[in-house]
Amino acid sequence: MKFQIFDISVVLIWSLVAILAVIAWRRGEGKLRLGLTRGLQMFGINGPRVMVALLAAGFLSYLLPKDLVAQWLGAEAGWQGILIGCLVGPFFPGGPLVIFPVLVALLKAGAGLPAVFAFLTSASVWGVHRILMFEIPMMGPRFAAIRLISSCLLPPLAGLMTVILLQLLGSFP
Amino acid sequence: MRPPPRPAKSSLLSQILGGPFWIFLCVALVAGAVTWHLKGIETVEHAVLGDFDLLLFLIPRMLGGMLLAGLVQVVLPPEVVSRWVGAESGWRGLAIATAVGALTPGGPMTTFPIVVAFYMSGADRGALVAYLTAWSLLGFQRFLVWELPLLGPDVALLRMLAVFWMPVLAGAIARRLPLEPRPPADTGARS
Repeated sequence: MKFQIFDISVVLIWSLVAILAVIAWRRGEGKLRLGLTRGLQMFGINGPRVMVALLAAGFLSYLLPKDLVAQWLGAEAGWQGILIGCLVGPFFPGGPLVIFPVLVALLKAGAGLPAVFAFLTSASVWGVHRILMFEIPMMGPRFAAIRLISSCLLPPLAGLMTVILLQLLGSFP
Repeated sequence: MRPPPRPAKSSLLSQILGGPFWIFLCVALVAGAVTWHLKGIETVEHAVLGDFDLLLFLIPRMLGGMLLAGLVQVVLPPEVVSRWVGAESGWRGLAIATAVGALTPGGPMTTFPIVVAFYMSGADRGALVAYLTAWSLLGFQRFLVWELPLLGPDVALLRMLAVFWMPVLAGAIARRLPLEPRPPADTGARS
């Protein structure tokens, strides 16, 4: 995969940094210096962690049989489809760039909307890569546990809600 | 309650090379060895080179995100943060966190520093869980750039209808869990 190193999100982030830096500077009392020091300290502490986590996640993504799983999800309908969607979602790494092409392929392969939405929800809230690379290194395992417990029902609920909405809307495509 | 921040250099170094660092290093080494065994050395090389690309991509975003987080902590008064999204902020706090999360663009490399910053400024675990759930599930940028064009307005809106209420639910559950987050970045600086 090739990454665009500079794009609109970098510009946006650094513009926000500049705006906040000006605000902090105008407040005086060494606030600008304090804020920048804290930021750099955070980068120093988290940078090496994210780096080794990245290495781990990179290897793990090669060990997962992704294509097989996508075929499987496309073939199953109904409750089994929802269940499989929930279970395989977390192992699809990366952001929308990876997930959405998979989603379109799934819909084309004939997967039902409930299963596809369960899949997208579980990829969003249970994404293993994000938990490994960012959440645990930066917020700690306890926070990750709190968030996972709180959202453990969301992917199946997304599938269920879709079934209900489709029934209510009746003639939906 | 929390130990005061220690100014010594050695404490920063021990924080950098603390437990999580070694755990991740071990996982990386084991996963690397398994990859080598199952897929051969070429795949290992490919994975490491891919990681290097990803690192170049991440560094400008992460550094920006961390500086943003540091500055947010000094610019936003903690009493404002805890009034709006603190433990006593109720459903309104969860709704605010959900809205802000849905509107936050960009990937995890900027979102997680912001989460750390808001935690340090007094946001509670419920609001942070609602924020992250909304960011990952309802992201407005993703909706506009990916969902509308690829899924079409009908399917995209149906999905929103099915899931828009979920961040508030997750946040409410998180508030009722008898667990306190203890992020590694929390060096006692939380106000």
